[in-house]
Amino acid sequence: MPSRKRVAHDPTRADMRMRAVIAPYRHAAVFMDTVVSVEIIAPPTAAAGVSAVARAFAHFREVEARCNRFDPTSELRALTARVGEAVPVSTVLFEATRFALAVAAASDGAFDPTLGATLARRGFNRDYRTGQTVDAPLPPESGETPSYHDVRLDPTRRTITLTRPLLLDLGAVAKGMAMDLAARELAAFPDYLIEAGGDVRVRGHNARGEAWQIGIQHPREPDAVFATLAITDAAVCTSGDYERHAPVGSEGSKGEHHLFDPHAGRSPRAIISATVIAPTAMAADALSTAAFVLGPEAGIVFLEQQGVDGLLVTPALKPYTTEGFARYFL
Amino acid sequence: MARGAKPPKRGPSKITHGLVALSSAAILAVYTVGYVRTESADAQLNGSGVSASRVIAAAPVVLSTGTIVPLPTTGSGNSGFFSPNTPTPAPTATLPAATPTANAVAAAVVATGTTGASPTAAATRSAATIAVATATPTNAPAPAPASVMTGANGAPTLVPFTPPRAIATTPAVFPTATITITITPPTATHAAIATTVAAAPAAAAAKTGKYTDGSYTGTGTSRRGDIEVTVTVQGGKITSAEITNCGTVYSCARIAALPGQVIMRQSATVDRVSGATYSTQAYQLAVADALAQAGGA
Repeated sequence: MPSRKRVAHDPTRADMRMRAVIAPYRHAAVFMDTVVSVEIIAPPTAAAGVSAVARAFAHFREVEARCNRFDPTSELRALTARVGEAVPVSTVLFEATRFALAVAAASDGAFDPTLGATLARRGFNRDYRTGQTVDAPLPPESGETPSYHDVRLDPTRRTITLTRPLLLDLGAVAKGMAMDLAARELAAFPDYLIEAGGDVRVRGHNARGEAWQIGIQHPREPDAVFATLAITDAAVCTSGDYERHAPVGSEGSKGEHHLFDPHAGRSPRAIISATVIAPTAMAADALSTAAFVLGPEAGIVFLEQQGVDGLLVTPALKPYTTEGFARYFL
Repeated sequence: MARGAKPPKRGPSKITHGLVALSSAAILAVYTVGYVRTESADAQLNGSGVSASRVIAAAPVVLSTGTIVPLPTTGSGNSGFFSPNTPTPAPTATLPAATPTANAVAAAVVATGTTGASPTAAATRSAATIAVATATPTNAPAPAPASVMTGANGAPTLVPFTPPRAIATTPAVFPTATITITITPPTATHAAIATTVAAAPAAAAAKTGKYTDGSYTGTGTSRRGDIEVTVTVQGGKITSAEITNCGTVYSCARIAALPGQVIMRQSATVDRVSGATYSTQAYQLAVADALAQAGGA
């Protein structure tokens, strides 16, 4: 039996091993173009697990309905149609946008949620639910591309103003937000795991009574793990250049993928995988994206400033980590 | 670690409030507004309309790292805001009774610049304002009571507090100037990780190590081809697990040229893979195969 870090003799652990024989409750569904799965260890009753997961998935549904740039009926698209107006929006859309803009400001624009039109032109314009290519809802761009400076928020009135035509892309933030909202629905359970497209948020321990063992996808070996982490109350998000390649035929698609460096005008090349461990999935997701664009050195500085831990991997598979990251290695 | 880096050349220095804390505030704001919908989802399921496991956070949520909660934007100060621990507030100097959790939410202070928290004049009220202090639920007298309590006239009394670590009180300025950063070379990192992993239970491992020292090669197969892994065991513990051969669809030359590869773990099983687009089965099988030869179960 492989050795692993064990808690010293502890009646709680023994109790957990007994409770672990109760089957975990697992459920998965598709939201935001990815598989979302929840695993609750030892729910007190099956019904409790079922109802909690139903509420958790309701959050995914809600966030997707508000923030989906591919859906012409989404609130985000309704906002896009009203340039120059202070548009009252839902709390979901407002808070997602506000947080995304804060990350943009903190990263000096390396992360920028106003790149929806750019991403669409690069071929990321397909609604996964219908398979249809979505027409860009904006006139062709003239002059500079928009940036996060072109969005104004009024928290008192909860309005968003687009000062010029632009399409928000809230993918990174929305998924994390939905995961964190889902986690709140599971607050009654001491041990659970939520996964959405490779982003993982966990609490407590797995069915074996150990810290959750989260592997980091090897960026070049599809069936390999680059590292394994022992995580217990945190979110782990990994951005990789291998996840979604820019569709063939879009502008200069060689080596291009779904992550974009607005300053360079192309996908970042100095990093191929960025992992962030943070208390919330919303922060982990956005910060891993920002660090990816910032590159190995500036990215680590950025993560340290934000008080989170991260692992950045270069094309040569050289790892760069924050000081505190090593303690998570299993 | 480079701290105190130069501010960016363009524009004023940026002051952020800690993105992690901002994300917690955003989640709280959305959740408290949205619980009505999730309640209906729950009601549809169990038919009762009542969910015993749902917690409505009408007051600040107790988090172990402290939380920033947006101030209700009433424009009249925080008159509507009370610490959840003082439903009948008394103007005493003692902290309110602690909640069952280790960190009690004890205070909310408007960061108007009087408290030493990071003020941002240009920031709007709900983005900047409340920082919730954490207080240990002991009976230690509080010379500076960290509570918002209502005074006799019902108006909150603001008192200074020490912001929790989660809030960035130092400007988190993103540097664009050149910074010298010492990056640990991969080999050193590799060794450091080996030391870290082996250090803590090192003594126990020497006695109870399940593996026999040596070098073992295992093979795992997947739909993408085979992977060969060489596992080295020292002192009864795994010190390295290297991919030594690949029959996968990816070029073996690429694998041979991986100098910084860090593959270091004590178990072949992972619960989930972050960033995963593919399965990890072949690798796990290969390591397990090698471990089986080393005497592991």
